[in-house]
Amino acid sequence: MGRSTRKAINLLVIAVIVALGVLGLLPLIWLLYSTAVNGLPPLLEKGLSFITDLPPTPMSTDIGGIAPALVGTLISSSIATLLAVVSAVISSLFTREYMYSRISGFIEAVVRSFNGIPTIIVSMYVYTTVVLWMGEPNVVAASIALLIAVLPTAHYYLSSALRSVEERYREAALSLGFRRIHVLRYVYLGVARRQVASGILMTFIRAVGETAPLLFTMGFLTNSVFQGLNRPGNAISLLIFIYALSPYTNYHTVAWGAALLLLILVLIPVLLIEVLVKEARK
Amino acid sequence: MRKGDRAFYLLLVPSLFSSAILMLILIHVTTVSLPAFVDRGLSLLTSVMWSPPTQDYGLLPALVGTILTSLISIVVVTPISLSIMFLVGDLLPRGLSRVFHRLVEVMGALPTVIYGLWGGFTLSRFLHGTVYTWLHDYLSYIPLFSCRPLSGQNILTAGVVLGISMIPYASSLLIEGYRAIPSRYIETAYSLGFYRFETYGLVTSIMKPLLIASIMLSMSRALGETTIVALTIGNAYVASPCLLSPGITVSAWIVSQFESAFIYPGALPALYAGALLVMVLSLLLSFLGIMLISKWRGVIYG
Amino acid sequence: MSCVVEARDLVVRLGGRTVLSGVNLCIKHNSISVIMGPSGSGKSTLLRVINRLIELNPEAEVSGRVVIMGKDIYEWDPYELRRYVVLVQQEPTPFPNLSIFDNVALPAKLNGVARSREEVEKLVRWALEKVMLWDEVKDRLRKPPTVLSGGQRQRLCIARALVLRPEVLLLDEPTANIDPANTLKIEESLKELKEDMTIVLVTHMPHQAARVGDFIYVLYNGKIIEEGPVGEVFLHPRHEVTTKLLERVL
Repeated sequence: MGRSTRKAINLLVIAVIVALGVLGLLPLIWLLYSTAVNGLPPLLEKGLSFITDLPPTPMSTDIGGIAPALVGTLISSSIATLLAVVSAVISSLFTREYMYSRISGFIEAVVRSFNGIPTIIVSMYVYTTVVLWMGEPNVVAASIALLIAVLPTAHYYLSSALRSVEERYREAALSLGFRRIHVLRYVYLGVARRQVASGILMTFIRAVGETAPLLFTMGFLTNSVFQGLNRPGNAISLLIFIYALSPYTNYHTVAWGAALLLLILVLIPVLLIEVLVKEARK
Repeated sequence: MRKGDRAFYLLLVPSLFSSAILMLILIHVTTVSLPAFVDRGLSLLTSVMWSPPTQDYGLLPALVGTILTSLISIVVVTPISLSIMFLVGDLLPRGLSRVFHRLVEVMGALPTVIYGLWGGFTLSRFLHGTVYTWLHDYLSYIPLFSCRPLSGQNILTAGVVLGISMIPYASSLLIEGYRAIPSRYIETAYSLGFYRFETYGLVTSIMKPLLIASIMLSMSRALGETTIVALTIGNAYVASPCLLSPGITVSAWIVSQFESAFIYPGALPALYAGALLVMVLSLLLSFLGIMLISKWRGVIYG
Repeated sequence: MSCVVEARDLVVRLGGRTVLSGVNLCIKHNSISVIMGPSGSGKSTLLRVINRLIELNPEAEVSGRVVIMGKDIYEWDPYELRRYVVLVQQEPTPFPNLSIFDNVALPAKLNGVARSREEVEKLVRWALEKVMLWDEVKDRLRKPPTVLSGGQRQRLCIARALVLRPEVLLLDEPTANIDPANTLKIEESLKELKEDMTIVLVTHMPHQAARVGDFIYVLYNGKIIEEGPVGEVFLHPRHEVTTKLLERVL
């Protein structure tokens, strides 16, 4: 091949790569733009009452608010994140401490293949076990489904955090008579505290954004804000999903407003992670 | 391990929590779906009917939709994530590369329901008005584009949005792999007078197993994805080779039928049979993908 | 005379490779024992067996006996053992997430050496003075250890070990990557410290051995080939390897 042909092909390939790369980021910008444009009007119109009012009925002229969904999301995501993080700290401590044991390899393999289980199936499973047993969809069932769905995420981030702590710090601590629990507390969770914190935030982001696990477990509470953990609840992602599938335009408007709120709820921890990472680099 | 290491057993019990759940879910889905396979045999997979009153349950439309949307999403995500890998790993200057990478990561943090909302309302309308009409007008002799696009919510839209939502995941897999390649390979290529595209060709061939793995892992995710598909595919229980027609996937069908399936005899096992097929395929792809990556890493470092 | 650390026919295999093959030694009270040997002769492994850190390596097989203060190491609770037999590593490893003060205070608090605030503060000051670091850090105790130089960090790690008031202090080439000024300070501290404890020092510097050591053990291919008071061995080395080590050929 001649030099000029190669040069031309080179330019063409680079142009294609740049074009495809930009095309890949375009949806992000477009999506943020659409959510802002469609979500701002209901938020501005209702102001603070968008997060304190109850959702509208199909024919009502007022678009109401999403209070039950906001409360439900915060409660169920917090429970799921907390339990997932505790479980993941233990399992990643195990796989870190017994790194070469065959059981650790098995645990890692299982947790990673967990990503192959569709979250809708988690929802079906929790429905037939927890929901049918408790009699109705409820916040606890939803939290359990969320917990199962975010478990692999939590384990992934926490085990990478623990593995990022150099072996020499662990040996130094053990040489000073630290017990295992102290090695966990002061060395793993101490030296890698930023990675651990971002792992927790990542788990929370996942929990807040999940929809499918909630479908059969949460219920769809619209006539009061919160009725208790053993009673039906609501969630922002669930509300967006159900309203988007409905034929009513005022529901669509509420869905966009809720989407903007959900976006903000997710982007705050994203920014926090950014700050954590930046500080670590200093 | 020295005996009397009590911490081992204390930590082991909670660590096996996820393994236990995985087992329970597998057992649950298998046992509930078993009657459907036994009673209906092959017609479960080949029938296009889903009619509770007559107790006819066929999964063909859902299976076709699942396969089609997943394949489309792979076609969308693979070239884009490969380009992002070259942009972030090599082409862009350091600062810009970091910003680009961060933006892709932000994209990965967005809830799928927002992708679904945007895909179902904004993107589908745009594509309907432009691309779909054009495809039908000029390429309708291809069966894939033979039907008239009635709305923007169809199999093609679902596949495209699914593909878009997986860009961050596939990109991060590839970027991680690209950074694992020892720099001597790339330096050798340049010192032999390779042009960039030729070096990229070399890199792509080195990364071939990883590329296949990333396709498998993306596919594994796409097969079971629910939220995006349900909001973009139009939810019509038809098996059509035409991508411009509304359709259904197994997971979207579960969303609409699950609660009523408890009322109609035979519906639940049939629905679970679909779930089992998707889950087994998805687990298999996920497992093979992970194996391929760790094998590739061994080769690269070995 | 009784030994603080006693090894009998100690054999260690790491993944099938024999690292120590039949080591016998008896380390006496309030002395500094120096262990020398070419690299790969098993010096670090010997220290890691003594405080059972070797167990972190799943491939390690240990046979023979090590007795510390009259008790077999496997009769000790490993954490208890490591609190009395403290190891300072070659690379300085102050915990980067803790302040200078907390690096020294934490081991004392965790092991119950000091409980009240005043006690801890007194102990930290004592330890930092022992390694001649107090004057250099007293105004920045709340700063992270990253503000210190390599030599200062290593002295911080020794201070961190001292607050436990160990019976035995194991040092694995503590001055290997450290400037001469800091090395001298560490040596001074060690000479003073042997009044309170027993010190085992692995080093590759004959001068250091001569300056601080009371007894010397020469390890070669996993065996002790020569031992005795430092003066005697230095004046009349009986083994060719020892001569080469002292001439810094090995």
